Amino acid sequence: MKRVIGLKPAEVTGPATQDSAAVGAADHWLPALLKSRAAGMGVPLVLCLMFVIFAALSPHVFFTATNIQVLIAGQSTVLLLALAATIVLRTGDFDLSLSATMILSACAVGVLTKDGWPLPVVCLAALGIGLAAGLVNAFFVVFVKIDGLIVTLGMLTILTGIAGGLTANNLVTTIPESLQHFAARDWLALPLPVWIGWILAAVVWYVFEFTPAGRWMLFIGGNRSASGLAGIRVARIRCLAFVASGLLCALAGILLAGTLGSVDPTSGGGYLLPPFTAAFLGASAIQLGRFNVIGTLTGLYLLAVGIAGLQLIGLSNWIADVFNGGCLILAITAARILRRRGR
Amino acid sequence: MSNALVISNLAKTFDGTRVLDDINLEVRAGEVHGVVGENGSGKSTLVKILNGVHPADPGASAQLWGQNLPLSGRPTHGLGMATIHQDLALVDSMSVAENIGISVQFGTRSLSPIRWRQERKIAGALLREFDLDVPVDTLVGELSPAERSIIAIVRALREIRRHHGGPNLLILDEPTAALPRSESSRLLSIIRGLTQAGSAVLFIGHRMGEVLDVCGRISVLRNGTLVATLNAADTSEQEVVHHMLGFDLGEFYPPKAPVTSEETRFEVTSLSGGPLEDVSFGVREGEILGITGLAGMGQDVLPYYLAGGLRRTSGTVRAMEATLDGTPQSAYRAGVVLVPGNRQRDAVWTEASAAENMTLAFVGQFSSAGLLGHRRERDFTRAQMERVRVRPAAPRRMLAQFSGGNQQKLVLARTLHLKPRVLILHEPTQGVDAGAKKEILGLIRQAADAGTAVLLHSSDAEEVAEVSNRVLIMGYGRICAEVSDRQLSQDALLVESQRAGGSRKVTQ
Repeated sequence: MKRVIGLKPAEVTGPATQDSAAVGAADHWLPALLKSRAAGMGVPLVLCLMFVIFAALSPHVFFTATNIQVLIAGQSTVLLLALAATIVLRTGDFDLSLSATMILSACAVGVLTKDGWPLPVVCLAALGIGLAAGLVNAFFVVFVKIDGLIVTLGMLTILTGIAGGLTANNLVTTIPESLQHFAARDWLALPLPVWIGWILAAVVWYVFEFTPAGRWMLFIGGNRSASGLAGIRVARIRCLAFVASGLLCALAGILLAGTLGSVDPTSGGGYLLPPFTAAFLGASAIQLGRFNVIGTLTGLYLLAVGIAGLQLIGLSNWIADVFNGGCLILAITAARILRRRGR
Repeated sequence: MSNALVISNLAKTFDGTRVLDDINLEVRAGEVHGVVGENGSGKSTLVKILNGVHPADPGASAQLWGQNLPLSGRPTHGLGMATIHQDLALVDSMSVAENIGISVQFGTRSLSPIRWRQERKIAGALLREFDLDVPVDTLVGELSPAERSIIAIVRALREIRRHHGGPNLLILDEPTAALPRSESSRLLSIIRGLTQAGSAVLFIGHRMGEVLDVCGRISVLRNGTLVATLNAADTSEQEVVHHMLGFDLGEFYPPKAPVTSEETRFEVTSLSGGPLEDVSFGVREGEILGITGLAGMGQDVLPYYLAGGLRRTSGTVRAMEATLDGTPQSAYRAGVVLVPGNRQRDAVWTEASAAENMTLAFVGQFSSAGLLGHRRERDFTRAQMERVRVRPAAPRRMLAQFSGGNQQKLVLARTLHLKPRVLILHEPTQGVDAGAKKEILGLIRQAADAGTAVLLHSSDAEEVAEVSNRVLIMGYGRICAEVSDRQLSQDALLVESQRAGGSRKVTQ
């Protein structure tokens, strides 16, 4: 039996002393807030700086409308994957199977078209793959309660294997013409897939910041136990996050097939890490310690500008992988340091 | 050499919050010096600074046996001081001699053979010094709690003596917290004996009676300030507590209101699951039903079988017409809300703002035309924070920056906003300061007076006795006794708790 004090504590007469300390602390909560906001501007600032430096170093190649268009268009696929990663990370889970889901959907588009199915059916089937992948992930992670890293690593391997089996590891070239035309169509100087990505980013941003669901996701990621005891349907929301992630990857696959006109079933590896690097960079931007859409977009374009810039000033293709991996580690380190200081 | 330890101008600030302020403290040679204070008054921070876990703020100085103690946040050795923490840090599966030897790496180098015969001789001699009659090959896990504490002291002394001859200073951090009273008296007499030959003890105390009994002088901390150093011989329990709390003793607990309604709001019938066996009780409208018992008797898990997601194996739980299946969702639907005991783990996310934590369970209320009204949410939170006196009433502030008491008040305000018909509280005042405790208990009483049926699970016998209308005592997963009305007192609860779960527990 714990007995705190042998005597009755008593009535508060007048303001207790701890109040004055608390009020003293209240005086500087605003500067603290500004400081935390300012810390959130670090990554965007680096992005701007990098852009300016590369523009100055290479005004005629880097800082041209064409290059900037290419740079943005080149990220349309990774943008969707990064959104998918951000959704699952926000609820405190991890989905490594993003790139494999995308590649399998893209392969399915080609294979089903070759078999003579019409485009709407093909697209629905591709989305069905995303849905199925999300549900399987959710089942094992949320209900069987296996570590998400292990489940989705398994899914990554399985889906990559299926894509290989479906295509006999050959390049898939039977992408419908209409899909290719759609993906190549420009609107306001940028191809449609970019706009689709941005619109979906806006939708996810709205859900994250302006709906109860977004708040619940945030809390589930932050403290799952407290969220559950507050009556939030934790399991349901985590499942929905996996499913939304799967669907976004499938859509990315359809658009990838349309954009490239052919799909290499073994090309998933290059898409594995960049979405996570963007999302983790994003968590140390704008809202510190929180996976947020604006942050993810900032992170994504920081990577793109960095890699494009380094290549334009003469470094070859290998720099992309080094830069991606380096940024991932740096992003997580920065997030940890900033959070510690934000306390 | 009349002082063992002199601390001057010691202060400590964490994130802009002063947790220790201008501490000046003298521990005389040959003295047991008590340090008392409420939870959060700075006792443990003081110990951590002396041990070099945290650096002190610049400007502080300390002399240990006349030598400078750096207070730099790095551990110091060889200055004649050691600390024995509450958890003792003994290895249960190792023998007494092994536990004693490991503090000095068995007096040998990493890869040199251990001289066991010598080790056992040293351990035996130390045990004799303390009249402890246990073979040095006994496993520490087989010793009684007091004997374990003595082994920890012996080990600390061996470590000190290796580097430092002459008198020493032992810091004991709530050494009797885990001991039953019969055992603690044995330890206290050992502690008195430690001060022979000019050694000193800094005794961080918990139970007032023991502190007055064993200490020569007592320093009282309140909110990080050393408010008084009293001679134990000239003071009283009342005076010490007065200094600890900073206000006069008076009506601390809210006045009880008799239960007038006959309507049972919440009914548990033959609930079994985990350690619980055949638990049945009812709570009436406006009643505060306390549930207590010795630690680990099942009262700690009961709340989670009612509304925290643990599934019972049999029995029914009903709140008026609704049946609960144990999940938080079914509880919420029936108007039953649980305030979990482990706040950091189960109630809040400390890295979110006060407002986000406040509205967690009903954030949808602030949504209109598909947009979350962040300003309305903050205004609501500010009003709630002012109502329950959370200071500062800053809704954007990260929750981690509020004290435990303020966090708990916020959790309670959020719970009460749901207007629960049944409120289940698990250790609602654990780790909060006296002021906050008074306010929290006041809020709970208010809710009961408004008709809420309250279930108060607490291990604080005094609180349960003073706040509840009726109390159930649990032992080994069952309800063993019920105390109410005139019989309800802290002593009655302690006696019943001991009877319900005591006998088997001590001998285990």
